[in-house]
Amino acid sequence: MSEKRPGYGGYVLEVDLSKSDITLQPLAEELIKEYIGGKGFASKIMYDELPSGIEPLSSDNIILFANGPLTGTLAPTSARSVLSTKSPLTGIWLDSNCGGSFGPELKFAGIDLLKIKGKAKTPKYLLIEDTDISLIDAVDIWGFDTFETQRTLHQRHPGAKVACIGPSGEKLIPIACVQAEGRSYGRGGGGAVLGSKNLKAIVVKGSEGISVYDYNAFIKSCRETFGELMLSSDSNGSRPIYGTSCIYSFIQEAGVLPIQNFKGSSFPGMERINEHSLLETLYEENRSCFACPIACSKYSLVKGGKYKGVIGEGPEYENVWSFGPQCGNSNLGSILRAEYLCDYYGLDAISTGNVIGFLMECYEKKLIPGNEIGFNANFGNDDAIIKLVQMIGEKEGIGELLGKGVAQAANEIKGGSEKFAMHVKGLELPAYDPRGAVGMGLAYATSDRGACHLRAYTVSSEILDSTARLDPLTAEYKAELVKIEQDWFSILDSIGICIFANFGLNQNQLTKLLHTLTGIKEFSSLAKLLTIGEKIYNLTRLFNCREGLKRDSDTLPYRLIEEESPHISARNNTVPLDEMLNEYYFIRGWNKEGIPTSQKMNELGLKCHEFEN
Amino acid sequence: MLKYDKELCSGCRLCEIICSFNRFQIIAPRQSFIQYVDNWPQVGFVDFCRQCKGRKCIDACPQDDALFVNEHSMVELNYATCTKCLECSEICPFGELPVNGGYPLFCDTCTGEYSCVEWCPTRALSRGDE
Amino acid sequence: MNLKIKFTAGISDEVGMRETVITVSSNPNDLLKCLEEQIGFPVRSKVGRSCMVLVNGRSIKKLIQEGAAIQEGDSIMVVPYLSGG
Repeated sequence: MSEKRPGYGGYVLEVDLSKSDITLQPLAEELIKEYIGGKGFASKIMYDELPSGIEPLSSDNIILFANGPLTGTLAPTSARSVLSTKSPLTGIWLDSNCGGSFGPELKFAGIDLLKIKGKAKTPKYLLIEDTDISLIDAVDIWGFDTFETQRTLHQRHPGAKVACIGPSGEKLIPIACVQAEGRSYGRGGGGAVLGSKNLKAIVVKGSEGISVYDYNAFIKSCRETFGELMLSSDSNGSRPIYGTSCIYSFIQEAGVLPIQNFKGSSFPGMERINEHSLLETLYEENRSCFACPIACSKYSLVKGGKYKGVIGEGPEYENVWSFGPQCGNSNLGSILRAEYLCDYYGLDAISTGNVIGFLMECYEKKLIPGNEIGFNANFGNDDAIIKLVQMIGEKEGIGELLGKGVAQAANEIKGGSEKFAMHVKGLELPAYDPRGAVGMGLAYATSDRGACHLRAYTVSSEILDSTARLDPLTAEYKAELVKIEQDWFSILDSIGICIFANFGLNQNQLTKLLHTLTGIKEFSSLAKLLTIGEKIYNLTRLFNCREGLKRDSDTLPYRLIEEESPHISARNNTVPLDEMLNEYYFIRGWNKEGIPTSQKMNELGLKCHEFEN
Repeated sequence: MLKYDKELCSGCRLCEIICSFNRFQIIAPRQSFIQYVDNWPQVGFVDFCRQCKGRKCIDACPQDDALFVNEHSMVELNYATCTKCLECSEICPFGELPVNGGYPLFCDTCTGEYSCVEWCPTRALSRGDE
Repeated sequence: MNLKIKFTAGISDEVGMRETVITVSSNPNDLLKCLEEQIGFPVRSKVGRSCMVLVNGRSIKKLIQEGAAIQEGDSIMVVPYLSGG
């Protein structure tokens, strides 16, 4: 291997499945300096190489896996990598983030960016053993669930890490995800894109090393950030013990926990679900991702009752919500079982739970003839939840419609259900009701991949912030807050560390980690990093605008604008979206249609000819 | 010698990361003298030489001088005469030994520095009695 | 008046309980002081940094800013200063 840039694997691996062509190219200097890695790389490559109008499940779509410079290093929580493609669920930009150990292994094989194009004639898996790369026949494992797939490939290739799809990805279900070593590239249907390319899995074993620019400075920076994380109130004391559901009680108390498809204020047994009962009845072990001291993940086991013996990794806060309160269900065992099944089939658990809750409301309102489902699908029916997850995973019965996502389901069910199909741009809403923290409403409406809580996370600032400048129920300062977060989170998604490290550290500490690792002058300045973050967010915006998106897509479901919150703490609030959106476009330097102006593009160094005016 | 309490381990692999970083100034976990083996969805365990006094590995080694006790009273590998048969790993009562390039790796506690103990966030790794 | 106070996640481990009852006046400025005195938890030095006190789901700082009073039956919860899930 040639002299490697510190912090980077050094290579771009491009695989054309139609031609069985495999090429390894050095990673370009300009790409590093301008876009850093991860989401940054994805934004540049996807904008340049995927023209508008491509069908997401056609062989013309591209799917990327990108590491950040910090991925696979000594930096705390440096487990993360990014999947990017055009989403078959939304038809727009997708980037999906994953922890665990797959990204780091790709990095140890020297790969910063994996580009997959075309479509294989028969099922294959990609095998990467350092520079020894090949496409292997996968007909004998096609149809395997993700656990069987990973087990089989681990046996064949000891020590390797696997990213794979399950039956749902193979069946091109739009909410199918990619599973990788127990974690997921969850949202937006990346699994269906791999399925459409006949690519069952990526198997990687890397034995190369990652070099460091300044050994002493980097190790010092790592020591400081580890120490800081161990002291932080966020990552110490609560998250390691209670998992990602450590926020459950506070979110519920603040009136931000959505119940029964965002319309309920309570459900039977709801006092049985919180971070304490999860710890007491489910959690067995703490699991970490690569290089992580927080260990938020859990190995859980159901010890009694109807679901005795059920195991799984999780449940995460989002899945506790999506199969719990979203469906009016208080049976913790069933929640773990549902999450296990999503992992088994390879389904996005947020979208799956959201659409099941939607179906339950449709059933309650008698919008679906009883025999079309085949069983009672009332809110709170845990048997129905489990059956529906299986039907979605197998693409059976009404599961086929639900697997297309809640927007499409509402389109077909009709009867006014469009008003309570909880999605933005086709991506299902996660576990925060923005009527209780309206900044999240703006975050959902302006997220580049559809309703997402990970582009800007304003909930804590709005509710816990003690400076009293922000009120969770009003529009003031939300535009500014959302923009700042989106730009910074674009950097986080480009450098390869976990969002939970961000909550315990400050931006200067993260800048120092990046700079001492890479030695790149541009990365020593937080101000410069923030402009790169702004550039990345504008580029994904332009990608979407090129697909035809305008202001009329920056919306929220009818329920959040027109129906008052049912929670006491939210004081009958609705989301003042228009007001926040106007201010947001202004702060962003976008025109009234939400399209970046020429002036803004010039300022950021973006040359997007289609938009010059 | 290095001690390990599996009950405390969360599988973060920081021991792997710092081992290679400390030894070679690069991050190359596969070259580390301590290796994590996962057991998803449960947490797995780490393999490493405990530098035990039993030293069955030396007895099992078919070569005369591939494995020996060095001046720090630790088992050490002579890479020149090792035939990579891995009988030492096979006989090890604690499990398997990490292997790199076919050679078994014998943890030497970074000659008393115990880097992995410093970086283990859960204290699963600790210093044993000398 | 007597009010039930709930503690969640890491805070409940720090104070050693999930809930308790304390005696408070209607003045929200006093609430923190009462909490500290009656349960021995140094809440005033921690609030806004490692924890927050929610009154009916809103930060106590908001209550003070609004000049509102603590009332019988108010829901009080002490939470760790957390983000994301």
